[in-house]
Amino acid sequence: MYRRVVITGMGIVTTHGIGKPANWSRILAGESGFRPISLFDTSGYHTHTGGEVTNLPVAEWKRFRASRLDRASHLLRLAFDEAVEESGWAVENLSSSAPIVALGTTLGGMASGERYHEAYLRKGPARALPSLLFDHLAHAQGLHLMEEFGIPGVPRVFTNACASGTNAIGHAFRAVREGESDVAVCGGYDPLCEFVFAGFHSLQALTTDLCRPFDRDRSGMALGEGAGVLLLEARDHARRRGAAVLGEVIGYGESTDAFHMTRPDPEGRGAASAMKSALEDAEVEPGAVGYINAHGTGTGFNDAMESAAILSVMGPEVPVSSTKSMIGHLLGGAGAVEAILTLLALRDRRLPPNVNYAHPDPACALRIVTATEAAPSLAVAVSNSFGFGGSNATLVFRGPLGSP
Amino acid sequence: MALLKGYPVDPRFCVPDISLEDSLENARPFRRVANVTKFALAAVAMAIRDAGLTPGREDRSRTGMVIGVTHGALVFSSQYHEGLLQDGPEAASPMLFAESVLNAPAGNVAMAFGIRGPVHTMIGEESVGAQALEVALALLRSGSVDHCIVVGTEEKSPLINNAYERMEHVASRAIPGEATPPPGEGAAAIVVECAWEAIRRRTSLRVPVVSVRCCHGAREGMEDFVARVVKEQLTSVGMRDVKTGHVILPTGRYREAVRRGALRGLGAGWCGTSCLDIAPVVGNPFGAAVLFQVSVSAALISSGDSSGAGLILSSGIEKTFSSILLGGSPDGAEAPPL
Repeated sequence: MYRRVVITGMGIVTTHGIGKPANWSRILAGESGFRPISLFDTSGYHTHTGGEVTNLPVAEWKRFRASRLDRASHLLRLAFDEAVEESGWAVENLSSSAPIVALGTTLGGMASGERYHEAYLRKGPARALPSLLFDHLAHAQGLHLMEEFGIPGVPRVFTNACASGTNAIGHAFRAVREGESDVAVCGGYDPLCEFVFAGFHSLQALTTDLCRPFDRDRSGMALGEGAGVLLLEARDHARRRGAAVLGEVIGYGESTDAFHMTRPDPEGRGAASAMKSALEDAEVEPGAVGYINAHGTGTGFNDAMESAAILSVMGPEVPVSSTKSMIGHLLGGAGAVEAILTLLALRDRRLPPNVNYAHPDPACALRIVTATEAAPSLAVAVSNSFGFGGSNATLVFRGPLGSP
Repeated sequence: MALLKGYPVDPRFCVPDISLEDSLENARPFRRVANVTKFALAAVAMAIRDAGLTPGREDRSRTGMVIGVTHGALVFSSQYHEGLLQDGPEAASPMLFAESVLNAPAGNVAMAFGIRGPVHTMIGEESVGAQALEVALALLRSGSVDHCIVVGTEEKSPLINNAYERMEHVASRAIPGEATPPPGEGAAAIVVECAWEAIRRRTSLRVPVVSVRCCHGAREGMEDFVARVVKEQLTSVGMRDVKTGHVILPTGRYREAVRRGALRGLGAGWCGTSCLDIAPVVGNPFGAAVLFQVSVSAALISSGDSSGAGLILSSGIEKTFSSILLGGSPDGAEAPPL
């Protein structure tokens, strides 16, 4: 008999701001968070905008010099702080409960790696700061967080490209459900940096226009940055400490395309398999799903593939939107941030819009949510993530149950 | 490449040029992948063959894979970034970028062998192989897969040499006698499955995985920390007083402290235990280290060259630590089930 797993804390940082109120109000208003990128010079690129987090506050760290840490550590820390505060736990108590920490990221602190390598090339190996190389490693940010708060153990860091955050939550969900731990801290993060921006630019995956997921005239993705952190607990554990329940994770499915390194299987077989197994895991029928927060990158390949997968598993009636149209693609952070937005949709029974959608595409014959919609009977929702290397992951959530 | 002239790769512990023609039915799609991926492809081909997982016979949606990596394709990453820095965005190579992504080895291996179950890349210090094994065991327990391939892979790069050598210089002044071996490279892979699945497939059971611990010794001395963890681990599986056949020492930082701590943690069971150090043979292969160690330990146990359990230890510069217990039986009983 599996244990039920509830969410008791959520933290979010995106271009729309720090915290759920700022993010959710702007998402429901359909606001675009894209702005000229200031973190690096974009003059040599065809694209100059992204979902950059401006005026990023730097939290006080006791065990590290804040100025030394990569931007990735700060994004993660801000999301963690909000999640812990909402959970009602003193951080010392959270640490002593020995939570599993599962995080997803694509390239961790790559901006530090860029600085190390640039100094290495321009000034010579003896002048490049080794600490920058260590800060760039994708496990460094999780280690910093755990060390700062005395959380025992080692972070389980998943780097499955754009599915990383969803995989981290799914892994944490199973670990709590199966009794490995009563509590888990999970989520994902990725900062904007030139290494990644130039990479997607070189793949001609970035739009020079608006990000228009599922639209006939879609021309590519827009990159964003940020972090999402969720606190998962066994329901009985949350009940014992009187925590408010923000929602429930009820299913997780994952699969691999084994098709191509950067292109998805056009028939969406792997994506469909992840969705199908997540629904089976959740023991819900496809008809019970009232909303899908799609991966919806705005690229030709992804959106057509995802549409085929959704149609084959769920049919054409389920409302779908991609919030990437407003905040961009957060890569390793996408799955976690979108999981939180899905849970907020379940809480308020309101569906966030897929902005910039104007012309239906026969290859994406889905019921796209073009403006914020009330969904009074919304009880179950799905969040999809698919990534480079053929990684597919789907989470199924149920809305808040009230006080346990 | 200018980079290589500036700071050459230490030639010790380099894998000689390998041909994937011997490993893959169709090696052509993988001729331009990074070394970290080539190593993983070759190691997985051997592990699959050894485990008798014939391509096409098994349902590959029930096969999973977890890869542990520390640095990934740093040679490709630095070539890609050097092009970007020197010649601007138009010189950034999409191929080098795609192969620089940390899960590129996993994506390529999944394609090569048609693995359609869960595939994960874990990032961490030298102990990341133990984390990969931990996640693989969790996939088996949850019923998500019938078999899971666990891989560790790493490639050498001048950037790693430079950073670790300079950090080592600082650390060796602070911690006398804690010299870390030079970076190594390569890959190792194992196949793990539930005992009943191996029996169903009529394949031979090699070695039971008894217990995996991954932890962080940030706030106490490494020796005391390791002693406590090893003691707790043996007690938790009922093997506190069982003789340990061999201990495989870490290839990363804190080797000596870990060795002393482990022997203290083993208590009476350590007497006569062989301590094996693979670092003189492979250097410090970071993400591949634990899988190298596991392969050696499993070979010792399954061949009968070592009686009793094998304890595999790993530690890294940020004081992460892992301990894996293979084989052996609590109080002379049957080995604990997976």
